[in-house]
Amino acid sequence: MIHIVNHSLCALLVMAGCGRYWVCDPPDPELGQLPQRLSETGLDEAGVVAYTPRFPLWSDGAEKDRFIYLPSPPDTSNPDEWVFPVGTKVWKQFSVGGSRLETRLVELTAAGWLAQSYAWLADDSDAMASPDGIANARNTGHDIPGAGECLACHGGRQSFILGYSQVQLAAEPPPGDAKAVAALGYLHANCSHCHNQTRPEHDGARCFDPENSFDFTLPVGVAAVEDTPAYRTIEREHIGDSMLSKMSARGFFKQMPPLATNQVDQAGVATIRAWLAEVP
Amino acid sequence: MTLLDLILQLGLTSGLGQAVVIDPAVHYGSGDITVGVDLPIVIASVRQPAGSYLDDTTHGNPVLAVEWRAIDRLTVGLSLAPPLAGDGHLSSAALVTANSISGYARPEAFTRAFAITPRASYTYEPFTLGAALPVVDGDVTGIFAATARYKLLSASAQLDTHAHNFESIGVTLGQHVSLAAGSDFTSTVALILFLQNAPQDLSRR
Repeated sequence: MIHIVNHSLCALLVMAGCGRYWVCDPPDPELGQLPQRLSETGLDEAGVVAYTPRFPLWSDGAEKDRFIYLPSPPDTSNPDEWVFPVGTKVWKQFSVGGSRLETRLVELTAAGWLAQSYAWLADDSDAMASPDGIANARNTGHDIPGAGECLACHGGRQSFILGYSQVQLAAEPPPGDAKAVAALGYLHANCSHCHNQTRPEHDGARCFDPENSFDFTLPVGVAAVEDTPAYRTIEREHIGDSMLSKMSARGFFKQMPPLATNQVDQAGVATIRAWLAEVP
Repeated sequence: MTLLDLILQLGLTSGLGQAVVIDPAVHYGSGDITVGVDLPIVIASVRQPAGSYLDDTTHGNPVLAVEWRAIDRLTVGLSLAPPLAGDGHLSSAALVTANSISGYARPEAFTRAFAITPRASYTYEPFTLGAALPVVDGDVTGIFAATARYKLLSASAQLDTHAHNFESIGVTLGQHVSLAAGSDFTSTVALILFLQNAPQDLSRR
């Protein structure tokens, strides 16, 4: 017998060509392994510095702390896609209600980028590698992603690192109307890691390779709102209402971003809505 | 309205993943006794914690069954399922997904334990009423599978219902095709659409 069941109907539709952007490659074990304990990753060593991006990624309201270790300065000749040196490590720590739940690490080795999530022990003494991830960690609603899911966002940019870039770290915000800057920055931080036109090529599952021509990148040096890819995308594709609808929804097949969030970012939606109201 | 729109409106798209269960079955009948074996194959896309999916194909427990037509319309049977389903984290998740799909009627196929399931069915054309009580690792599972089938359009079209402790009801629209390889051998292929959301208590078994 062949049982094709509820959400399996979606699978059939998917197989029929609806796209499978939510399917991610599993980690390649040949690239190597990161330490089993967070305390062994070098987070407490000299040279690790904290940073805060101007436009943060929405993570269902979790408090986040970010740290980076750079063995040498990155190549910034392309201001929108910095090239990081081998040995670069970036950590992001997630806390909910004041409790540390998870610290994510991405590290560039000679073989390539490695990624791992570490789940904090209940006694807060250390965090342990969690390659399969944990749904609803400690009953907080926070999901710790599996190692294969890291590529879903990071794999969509040439730089691999998303929040440590010129536009994110600049002392001054991009020029322009405050509403437009806020909205374009939001789209850059929350959408552009998939919706950009310079995604690295890959031949695996296409979790970070949407089948459209959208581009929500906020490039460095933009002089006017009309010069941004996001503005041109929205103007060309007439997707403002659709975008707001997906941002305001949650559920498989319905929400944007499709991963790593279970709650609507009401403030983010309001930011986009306020800007779209002024886009002709 | 597209089929996808209908699915979204019914709220059937949350869960552990998507799976297609292919359940080839071979039966041999002699007189009033039929013996058979089936080996469920699960092709699943398993949900990861952050919401992405990984694909996996695995198999459930082989289910060995014997049925006896006790009287003209009444059939009783027993099935045994040794815990030989595919192993590994991803396969386990695929089995959990499959269990949330068809565990209603056949929990023994995807539960990692030895299961023995007595069943009985009564046929009064075009209706068939059936019941099964799986016992897993010596414990009654709490799942009482009641099945009602009604032949809709032809000998191969059926409407099934399954009850889980009579608290939640799954409805199946199915297309069964029996292939006779000889006078005593038959194999069964069916296309079944469940219209029941995944029961989480079953899926966590």
